[in-house]
Amino acid sequence: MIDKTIFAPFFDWMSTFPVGVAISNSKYAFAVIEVFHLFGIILLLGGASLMSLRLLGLAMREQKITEVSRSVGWFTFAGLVTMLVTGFLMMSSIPTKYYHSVPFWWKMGFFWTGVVFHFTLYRRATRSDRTGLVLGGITALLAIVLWYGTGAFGRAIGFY
Amino acid sequence: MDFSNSAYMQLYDKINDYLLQQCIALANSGGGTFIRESIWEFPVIEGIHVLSIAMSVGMIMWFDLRLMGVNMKHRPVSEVFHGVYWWMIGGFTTAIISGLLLFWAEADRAFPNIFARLKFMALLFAGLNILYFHTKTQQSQADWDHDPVPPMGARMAGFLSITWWVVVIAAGRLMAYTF
Repeated sequence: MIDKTIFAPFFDWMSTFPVGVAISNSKYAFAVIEVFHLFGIILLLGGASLMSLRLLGLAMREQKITEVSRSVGWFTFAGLVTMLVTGFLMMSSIPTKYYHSVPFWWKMGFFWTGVVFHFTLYRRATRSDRTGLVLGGITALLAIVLWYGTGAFGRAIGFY
Repeated sequence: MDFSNSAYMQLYDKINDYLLQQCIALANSGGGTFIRESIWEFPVIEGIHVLSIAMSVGMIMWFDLRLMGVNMKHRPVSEVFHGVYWWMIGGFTTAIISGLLLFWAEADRAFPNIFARLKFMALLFAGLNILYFHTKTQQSQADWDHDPVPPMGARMAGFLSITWWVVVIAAGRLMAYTF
């Protein structure tokens, strides 16, 4: 496991980040940013879910894997970018809260593993029509566990 | 003119007050208290609520975008609909059940909340949009099922659907901030 203290300088820097300070001083900014964070999650989860269901052969079987991938790929990517930008803004407004939150670090673990997975195995499996049920199945299950897990731990930050 | 004492306002106040009493009783019932005061049940139900909304809206969205002629333009509208149908129904059913459990626990605070009312209103309009689409617009679907860009009525149905879900999600998140 990585020791979280190596990220402490980054969190210290964030606490002085002017945009983060402005967000924490505003009554509604955080809430509005979080709404957009949710829109990003919808795009990412919606895209990854449909793609995974297709890889498992449970939805959109009339379409080729690459066809579904082309249709949902940009929405999924847009969701990822939206999540990253809004997530960073939320984090920068109260860095110490996140630094001390246990589910936050779980979320980061799932999220960054998800990002690496997204641009490697997932990319490979969804850009070929010859992806079989074994590779497709593993990819789909990983996508579901990693992205829904990210969402679940994200929700948990509000409680713990 | 002052409407605050008009008959309509008095009636509104009466209904409002009656429903608020019902919601207070609901939240204070055994089940409501149990969920609210639980250590992990409440967070778990709320987590399921958020993820099932992501699942259902994330699926509905693909059909809405197809109706708008934005995405999957070269596949029949009916094919896209059947592709996402059971997944969006499953996600939506889970969202409704978990949402009712959350409402049970916090009905007294949700009922007077402006964002909660906005969320319920948007859900109602989303439902009416589906009803109108199904009973009117969809009757001629055979004529435009293969059109890359469906006619105005269908495009409007897709656009309104996405709009109402955006309101549902935004209001739903904001209501939790104002409890």
